[in-house]
Amino acid sequence: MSEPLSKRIVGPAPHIHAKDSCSGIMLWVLGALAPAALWAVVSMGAPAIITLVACIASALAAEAAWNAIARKPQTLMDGSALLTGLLLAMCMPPRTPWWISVAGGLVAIVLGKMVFGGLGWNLFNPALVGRAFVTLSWAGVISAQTNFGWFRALSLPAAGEYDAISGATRLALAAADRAASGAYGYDLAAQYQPLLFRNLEGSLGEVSAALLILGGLVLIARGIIDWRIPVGYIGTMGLLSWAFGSDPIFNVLAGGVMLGAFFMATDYVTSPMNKNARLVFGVGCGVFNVVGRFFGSMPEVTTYAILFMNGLAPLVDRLFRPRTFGWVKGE
Amino acid sequence: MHTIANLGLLFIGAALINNILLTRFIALCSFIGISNDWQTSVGMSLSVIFVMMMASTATWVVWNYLLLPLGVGEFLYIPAFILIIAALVQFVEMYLRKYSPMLYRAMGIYLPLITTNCAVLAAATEVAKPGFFKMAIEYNYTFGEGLVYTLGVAAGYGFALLCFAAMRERLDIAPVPESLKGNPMSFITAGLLSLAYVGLAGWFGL
Repeated sequence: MSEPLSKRIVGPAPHIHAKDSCSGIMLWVLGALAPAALWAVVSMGAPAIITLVACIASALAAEAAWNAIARKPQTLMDGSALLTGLLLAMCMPPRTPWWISVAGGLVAIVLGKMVFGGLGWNLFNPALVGRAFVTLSWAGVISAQTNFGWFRALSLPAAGEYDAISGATRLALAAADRAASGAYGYDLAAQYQPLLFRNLEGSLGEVSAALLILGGLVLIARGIIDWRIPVGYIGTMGLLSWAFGSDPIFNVLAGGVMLGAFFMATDYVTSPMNKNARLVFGVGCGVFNVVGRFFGSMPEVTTYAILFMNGLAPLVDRLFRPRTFGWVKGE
Repeated sequence: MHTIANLGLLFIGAALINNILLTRFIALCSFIGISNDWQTSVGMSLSVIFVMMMASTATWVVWNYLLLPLGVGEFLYIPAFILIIAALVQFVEMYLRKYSPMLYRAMGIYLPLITTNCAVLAAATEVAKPGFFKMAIEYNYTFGEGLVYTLGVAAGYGFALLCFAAMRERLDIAPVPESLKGNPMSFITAGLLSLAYVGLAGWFGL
């Protein structure tokens, strides 16, 4: 940073100033995510607020504390910790105990980002690191939380004989129906409307797919995220779930796909740099997600799909590295 | 058709779902030690595939035609396999040095390293004694199945190693706190990578 001026290399003109800045981009993403988050708060009420506050506050506190202890310049103002906290809250069920949310925020910031050297150096999406950590550490506690009272409306017709499905998400119901080869007659097409506008079974980010799509499209239109990742991700999900004999629209709308495809997989740092590589990255997320849903042991694997592809991103980037001109190979 | 599908599942199960490095945590010494250089990782991956295939072939033959008929397999298999693998690798090294200097130069330095690689012993043991790792798939390794399984383990090893080598190229230039530089950071990253592999648990009932 402080090298003498003579060492700097100035490229040829024209020099065009872009107004984009790190915190500006973070603000756009926060803004795009805000309607979905607000609607989740309106629909779910106090539990959603507690989860949001716990995640965001612990993420901010963790970043501030790390910087203070490591005697680094304070980086709270770039907005990335705020975004990580919000994203983490969006993938938590609303009735998650607050101390689990706090632990998630701490792990997301410290293990997911700060140990790597801070923003721009993390290899995995911090929010997803936090989520994977808490869901594995307290799987029993989280799944034991009672869901909202109005879940009955969407239960299977044969729900009477099952006590255990009371907290099930639509994806879990669809999976149970599939496992019973359609014996419950779970109507996937009837789920479009609640999934798009008001779905209270699942995490905060599953309340309204429509608002997430809207936010994602704004970000694409602004040039903040690359269309290749969401298109590759969602397109692959649709095509493959159709090929596996399920309803593609239901599979794309349900679960964390919209949140993951628009807001998490598109993270600049943890996705490949090359454009073709980004398409491959999106398709890889989609394949992992669909196969995990249909042949795995969990109803939803968006978190792991994106983390897995985050891990693959440096390798994918390496394979798509553009040719250097003016050099003979091997010299 | 059924057999081919089964072999495919066996391969995926060995390579990804029960990845030897990231879900079984075997052979971590080479995973951390080798992955700091891309070229070395490529060479190591290829050498491991080659050596593992040979080692499993040899131990399968010895297990089925020597140890089992003599009734000494249950308590002699570990020393026997270690001896076979070590001797085999040494012979290959000597052979390569004399007959194929090019290949020796590409592979030679990795061969002594692989002699003591626990992944090779683990794969050979699993092939000889199915159920050692408690994979849920029905199998009773015939020779062919054993080879497919070994190829899967070796491919999974190479895949994880190359993934990790590419990540460490980025880690090397990252402003990691002084106290975490090097191996601590490698272990943290490997832990996070293995967190992602949790999502593969139970795929296809494997």
